[in-house]
Amino acid sequence: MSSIKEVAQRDSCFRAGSTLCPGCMESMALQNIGRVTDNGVKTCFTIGTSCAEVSTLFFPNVVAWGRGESSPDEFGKSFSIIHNVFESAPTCAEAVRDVADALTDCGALKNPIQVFSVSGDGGAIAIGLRALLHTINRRSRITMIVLVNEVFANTGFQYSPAATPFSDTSTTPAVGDVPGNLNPPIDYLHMAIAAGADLVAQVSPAHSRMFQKTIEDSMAVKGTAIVFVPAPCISGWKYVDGKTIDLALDGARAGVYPTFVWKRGEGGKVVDCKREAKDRPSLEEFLAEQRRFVHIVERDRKTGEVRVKPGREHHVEAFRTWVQDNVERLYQLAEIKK
Amino acid sequence: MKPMDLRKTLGESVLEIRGDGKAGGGLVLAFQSLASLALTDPTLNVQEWPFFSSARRGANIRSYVRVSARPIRIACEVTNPTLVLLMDEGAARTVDFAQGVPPGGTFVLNTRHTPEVCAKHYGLSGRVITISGDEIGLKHLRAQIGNVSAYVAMAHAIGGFTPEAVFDTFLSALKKRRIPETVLQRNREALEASLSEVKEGVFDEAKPGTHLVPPFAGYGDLPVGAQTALRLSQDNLTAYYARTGVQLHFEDPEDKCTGCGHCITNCPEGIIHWEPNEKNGLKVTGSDVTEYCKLCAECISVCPENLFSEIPFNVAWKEAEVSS
Repeated sequence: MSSIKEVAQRDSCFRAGSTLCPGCMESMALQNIGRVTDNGVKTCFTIGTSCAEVSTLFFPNVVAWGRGESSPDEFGKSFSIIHNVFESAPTCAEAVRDVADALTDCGALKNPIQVFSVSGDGGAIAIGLRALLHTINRRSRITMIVLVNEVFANTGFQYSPAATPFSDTSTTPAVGDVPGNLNPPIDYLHMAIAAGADLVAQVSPAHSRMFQKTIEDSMAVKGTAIVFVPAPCISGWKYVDGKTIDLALDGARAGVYPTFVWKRGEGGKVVDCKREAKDRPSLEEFLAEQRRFVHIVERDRKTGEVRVKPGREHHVEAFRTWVQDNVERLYQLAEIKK
Repeated sequence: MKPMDLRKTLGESVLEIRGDGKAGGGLVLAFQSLASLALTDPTLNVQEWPFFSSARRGANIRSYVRVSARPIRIACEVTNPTLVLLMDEGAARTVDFAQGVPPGGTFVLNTRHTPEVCAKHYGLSGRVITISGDEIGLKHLRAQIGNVSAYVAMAHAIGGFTPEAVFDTFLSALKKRRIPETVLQRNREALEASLSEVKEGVFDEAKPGTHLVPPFAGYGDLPVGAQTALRLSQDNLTAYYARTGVQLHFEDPEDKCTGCGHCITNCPEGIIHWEPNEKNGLKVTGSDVTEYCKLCAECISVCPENLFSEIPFNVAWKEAEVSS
C-alpha cells in the first residue's frame, strides 16, 4: 500500500481548470482518485451526468487531458474517459470491462486495465438505481465511485434520495412548520451489499489515508467494488469557504455518514465513529455549520454557542434518533461476513 | 456628450440593462428585484433573464433586463445596453462590462472608488454612479455582498421610484427565497443605508474605438473553454473564480513543511508545487495562484503547520485598466 506521500508524488489525470465550485469535495475526490490510479495500469473512467461531469468536459478545454508530461503512447500512464448520461456510468463501465476481457482473451490486449465508473448520487441512486443494482448483481470487475452530495446540485439543489433528514432543499423546502426533507435517506450501503458487491465503502477524502487505501483495495477485488464518497457541497449545504474537509470529518464522526468499509468474506468496520451517542462529537455543531439546517439549529453570533431553535426540539431529537439508528445499522452491517 | 435620460428612453423605445458579476454574488436577485420594481408601475413592460453556465460559485455571469412603456417585441441578448452594472470588480477581468454602451449611457459600479476615478480607469463616457456595496454589506449583513446596494443604485439611476417601493420589492423577493425575518431586517438596514451612499457624476473619458461590440464572425472559431461564443469563461482560467481582492499565499521561511502531502492530494485543482526532499521525501514550495487557484482555502485548513494564508490582492483593478 502506498503512503500519502507516495500518492502525492504521482500525476493526477484530472488537471486544473474544472468549473466546479471552489472547495468542492467532488474535485478533491477526483484528484485523489486521479493520483491513486496512476499505478502503471491503464485506467478507463466512465462518468455519468453529475456536477463532476458537466464541469470537467467543456470542449476544447477538457480537464482530464493527460497525466503529467507523459505522452498518450505510454500505456501505463494513459487513461480514457467515456462521458455518459445519468444512469449509464456503471453499465457503460461494465461494457468496457467486457470488451477489455474479450480483447485480452483473443490476445489483442496485452496489458490489464482498470475500470472506474463515476456518478453523482442523483445519477446513481435516484435516476440510475436499477442500472446500478443490476451492474452490481452481475459482479463485473469494476469500481464504482458514487459522489454523494445529497442534492441534484447542478440543476438547483433539488432533493435526492440520499438527502439527510430535515435538510432544506429546493424541492423539500423548510416552510412554516415543515422542517425540510421528511424522508430518511435510502440505505444504499446495505442495498449494495445485498445486491452482491464485493467491496462496499463509505469514505471521503477527509480520511485521506483510508480513502486512498479503499480505492487501492477496490481495484484489487475480483468482483464489483462500490465506494460512496460523502461530498459536502459548498453551494448546496451552504457553509463558509475552507470548511469542506472539516465538515466531511465532522459528519463522519458525528454519525451522519460514518466512514465504513466492508469486504465480502471478511466483514467490515466502522472507522472513526463511536457506537454510543455520548462518545460522538456534538450533532448540533455539525448542523450549525450549514445553512441548510438553519431552520432547526442556530449559532449565536456573539458567543458562538449553538442552540436549537425554539419549537424545533422534537425535530433535533428525531434527527438524533435517526443518526443513532444509522450508526447502529452500520455496526450491524459490519458483522455480516458474506 | 449629453447623458441620456433613462426615463425618456423607456418611454420612447426600450431601456436595455445589462449586469456583470460573479455567480454567488447576488446579481440575479438584484436584477429580478429590479424587474419586479419596474412591474410595480402597471404601464411598463418588463423582460428579465439571467445568463450563466453550469459553473456555480465565482464564475462570471450576466443578467439582463428590458423595460419599456411599449410592448417589447425583441427577445435576444442585449448588446447595446443603456444602463450597465458592474457588480464585482473581479468580473471585469474577463469581460468588458461597458462594451456596446452608447455615449451618454449610465454606468453603475459596486466599488470603493469615486465615480471620477472609475470613469478614468475604465474609460467611461456618460453618467457614472458608484456605491460601496461590499462595505455596506459587511457592515449590515456581515458578508461582502453588494447586491442590495447595487440594486438601490440602479433604481436611483432609472429614477421615478419611491424609496418604499424600492425597499419593499427587494424584501419581498428575499421573502420568496425563504430568508428568515432577522436577516430581512438587516437587509432593510442595508437598503436604507445604501440610499445615502450613492455617488454620481458625468464624465467623458472614453477614447474613440473602445468598448465596441466586435462584429459577429459566426460560431466557427470558439474561444478556448467556450461552448458557444456567448459563454463567459473565455480562457477558462479558474483563478478568476476566487473572491475579488484576496489571493492565496504560501510562505515557509523556517522550513517547517513536513511533506505530509495533504495539501497536494486534497487541492481540488492539483496545483500545489513541490520538490523532492531528502529529509521528508517531498517539500511544498508554493502553488500556482495566477491561473487556476479558486481560493477555496482547503489548503489553509488542512496544513498542519499553517503555511498557507490569504493576502490582499488588487490586481483585478489594475488589469481592467490595462484592457480598457
